[in-house]
Amino acid sequence: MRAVFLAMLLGCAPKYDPGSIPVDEARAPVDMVTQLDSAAPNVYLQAMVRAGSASDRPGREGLAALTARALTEGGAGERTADDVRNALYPLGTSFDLRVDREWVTLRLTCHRDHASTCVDLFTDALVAPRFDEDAVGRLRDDATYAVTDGLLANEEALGEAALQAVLFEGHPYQHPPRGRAGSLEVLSAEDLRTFHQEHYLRSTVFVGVGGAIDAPQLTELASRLEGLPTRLPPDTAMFSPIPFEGRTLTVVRTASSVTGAHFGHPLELDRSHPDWPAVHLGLVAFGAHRQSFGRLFQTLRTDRGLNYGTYAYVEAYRERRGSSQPDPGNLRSDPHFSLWIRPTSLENGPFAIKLAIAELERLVDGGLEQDELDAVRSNMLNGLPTLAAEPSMQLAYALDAQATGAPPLLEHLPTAVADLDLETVNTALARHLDPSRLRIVAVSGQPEALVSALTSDTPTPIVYADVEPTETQAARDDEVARSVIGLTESWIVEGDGLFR
Amino acid sequence: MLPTLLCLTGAALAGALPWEVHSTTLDNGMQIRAVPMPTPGVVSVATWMAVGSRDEVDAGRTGFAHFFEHLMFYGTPSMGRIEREQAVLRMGIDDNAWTWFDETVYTSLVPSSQLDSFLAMEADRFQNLSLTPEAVRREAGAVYGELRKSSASPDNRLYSTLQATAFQEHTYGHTTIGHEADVAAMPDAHSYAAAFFDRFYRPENATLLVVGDVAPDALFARAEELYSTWTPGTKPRPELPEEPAWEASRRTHVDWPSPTAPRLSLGWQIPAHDPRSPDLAALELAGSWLMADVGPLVSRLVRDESLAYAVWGGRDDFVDPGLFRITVQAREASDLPAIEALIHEELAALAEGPDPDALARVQAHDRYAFLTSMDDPASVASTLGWALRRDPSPEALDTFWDNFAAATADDVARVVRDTLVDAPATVVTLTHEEAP
Repeated sequence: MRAVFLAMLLGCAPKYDPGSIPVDEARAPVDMVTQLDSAAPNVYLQAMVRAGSASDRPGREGLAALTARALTEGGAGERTADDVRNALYPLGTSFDLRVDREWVTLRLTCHRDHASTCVDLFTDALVAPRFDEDAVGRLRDDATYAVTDGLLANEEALGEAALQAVLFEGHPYQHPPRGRAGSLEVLSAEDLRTFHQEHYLRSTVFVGVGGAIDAPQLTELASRLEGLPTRLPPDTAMFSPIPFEGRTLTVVRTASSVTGAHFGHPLELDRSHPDWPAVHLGLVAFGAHRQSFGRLFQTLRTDRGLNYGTYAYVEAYRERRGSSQPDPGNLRSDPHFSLWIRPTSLENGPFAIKLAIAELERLVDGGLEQDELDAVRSNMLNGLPTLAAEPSMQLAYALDAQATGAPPLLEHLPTAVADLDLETVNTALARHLDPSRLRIVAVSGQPEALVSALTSDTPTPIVYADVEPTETQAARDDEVARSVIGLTESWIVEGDGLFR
Repeated sequence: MLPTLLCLTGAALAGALPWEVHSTTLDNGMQIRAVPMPTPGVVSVATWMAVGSRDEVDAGRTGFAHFFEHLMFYGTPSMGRIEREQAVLRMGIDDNAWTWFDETVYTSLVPSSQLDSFLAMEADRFQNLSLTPEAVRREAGAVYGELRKSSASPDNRLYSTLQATAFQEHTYGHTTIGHEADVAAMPDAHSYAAAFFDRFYRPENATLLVVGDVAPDALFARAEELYSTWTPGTKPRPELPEEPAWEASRRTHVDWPSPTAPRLSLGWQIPAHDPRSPDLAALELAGSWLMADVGPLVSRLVRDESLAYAVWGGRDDFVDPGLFRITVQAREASDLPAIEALIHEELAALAEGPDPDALARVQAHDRYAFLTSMDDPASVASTLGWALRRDPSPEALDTFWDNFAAATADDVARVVRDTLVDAPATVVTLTHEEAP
């Protein structure tokens, strides 16, 4: 509450209001994307619902995510939670649910033999969840563990959650979708029921259907979705992130023997913006997620063996389950740029952070080289089919575009990048990325030493694991070690209890 | 396409893979498999090398198979590291690799338009890898980073402790990432790396799988052209020590330095994976039922008695005798003894014979879960690669599923009794002690 109030004082006017839609749109049937294929072995049912964690009211953080989980695990329609589990089990499938800041993504893939049963289960979950008390209590306990000790056991996820909290202070994105321990404990089954009634509506639910579903099953699906209320969604005012200048450092203390870091700043750049393809391409060349060709990967890992990888993003990135490829369905109306330095040793932590910032400055000042642009463009054009080798992902991309209104990525990207020239890319990078304005978040076993190293003028040289750097590299290392990142403020926070 | 679909829909529970597997073996022993299936201009290409951390018998060399996987990206005399990386980038290939106990797998999603060129690059690196002392030193730092990343996880620590306690002779006693001291020594391992390549990266240890938009005959001709120059190895595979049967149960505890859910992991000795063994198919069934969220064990632990956040486990299908595992993420450390007792109680109940209806549901569940996942080339390649490790014939997979479908309640009861109930277990607990 305090943070939201602060945002208002700072004069951030609501700029995006997903609740403001015409009344006739609220009454229209649910928007549906279809990719039918009578020869397919499976049926794909997917939904995106504008009911993510940004819809949580202050003090009720976690409500949206808990509601979403209870759709599939708290009973639905005539079935109790156990009945749902028992119905799904022999089909060899389960719901796949993901909750981000703005969107809830629900997917169910079934063998074609079970299309009708899956239509029932899928629509019941969306339209008629029961929120059985004991299931809600258990899910609440799970969520509490996940945002406290569970997060501590995954320091990279902890760092990412802490970056969001710092970057979006006073903004509905601030808290992890799972919530905070203190807010979760007050949520009741009745709260979830009310949240569902207010946010799961014909105008907020978007459905994708693919594979071997027949006409009567499709009709049944559409007819069941008519059970969603036609009321207008509640106003969920979104505020611009609080503006900030300079660079700040927040170090999260953990018991580990490593230092990892994330940093970034908000962007005025979504997929509809004409500069998006250029900045996206530039950041792929700079630090493609878990790929070895990025400049950051080359500089930190290949040339210096500092860590497992370092990556940069034009928007929030979510991996698919079991793959490092992107999972569509988590676009946000307040995007941000971020950079992720995977864990390095405690002694090399300060150097790694300085080097990543220096690389960002070099990108913004000097831009990409023509070769980099050509190579990444070729990658995007040739590699497009690999983004959606699975039928479920082809549908997910189409649904993402339908629900968010963003250009459909698989169709849009080739034309958008085909004619980009170097000047356009470099101008866009310089226009949207600002290395002078960074929220830096580190997770470290020695926070005091890290803060001290990054706030003093004393050089922080790299310690090599037996690699003899070239003369040029050694000179660059020296320059980076002597650089001062110029923090305006720094804090140390305890990892244990960050989201209590 | 039509006959395959009829097979799938008309007799979905009778066959194994829903796509036809085409096979050939080169004269040098390399196995090639092609699986055509409809995809949007994509193929999944995987090379399975039969070398993993189980082969790390030499003192001070744990973690080496995984380290070597990293070195495989350092190029060849005709295409250096940077050149290869640039080529892969421009071709739009999603290129990856992983290593575990029994195998090292190089796996890529490739636009079908680039398949021919990519295979040429693959054939080149598997035969002519460049290994320099500098590359070895450089990559050692990255592997150390990976070790740091993985050692921060209580689940990894629980797993590695169970391995170390359960396997005191066999190389399964160390995990794939290796011991920290051995990883720290990797920068100086250039000559060992060269010998490792020479010994293990040989065609008789390799299986190439191409799944998706591929024509089998053209693939086989291309493979012959590219890989027939690969010469078989001359050095025998290492002799691995056998793990003796345990005479009594073993128990280890891990103190975890930061707050985390208490954990309990149990392991029992089981035979090496054999896709044609009816008993292992029955044990697989038992594992599926024990881990089913509708089964009695998970229902009691997670919901009815609220003792645990999560339960996972099942049968290792390893090349050498592995473990049957049950791991529990508990809510309270004080409940760990009760959880262990409850697990033994449920195993004893299963050894009395499962409800035949429940058995039929598990059989349907596993079979449909398998079929449903076979809709994309990467999943098919991964399933097939996994299945072929112990038996190069794709029919072995059919036999496994036939045995799985034929297993009776008596079979399940018998294997549970013999393997789990009447046998010693290794137990590892992990807890965080609050400071006083």
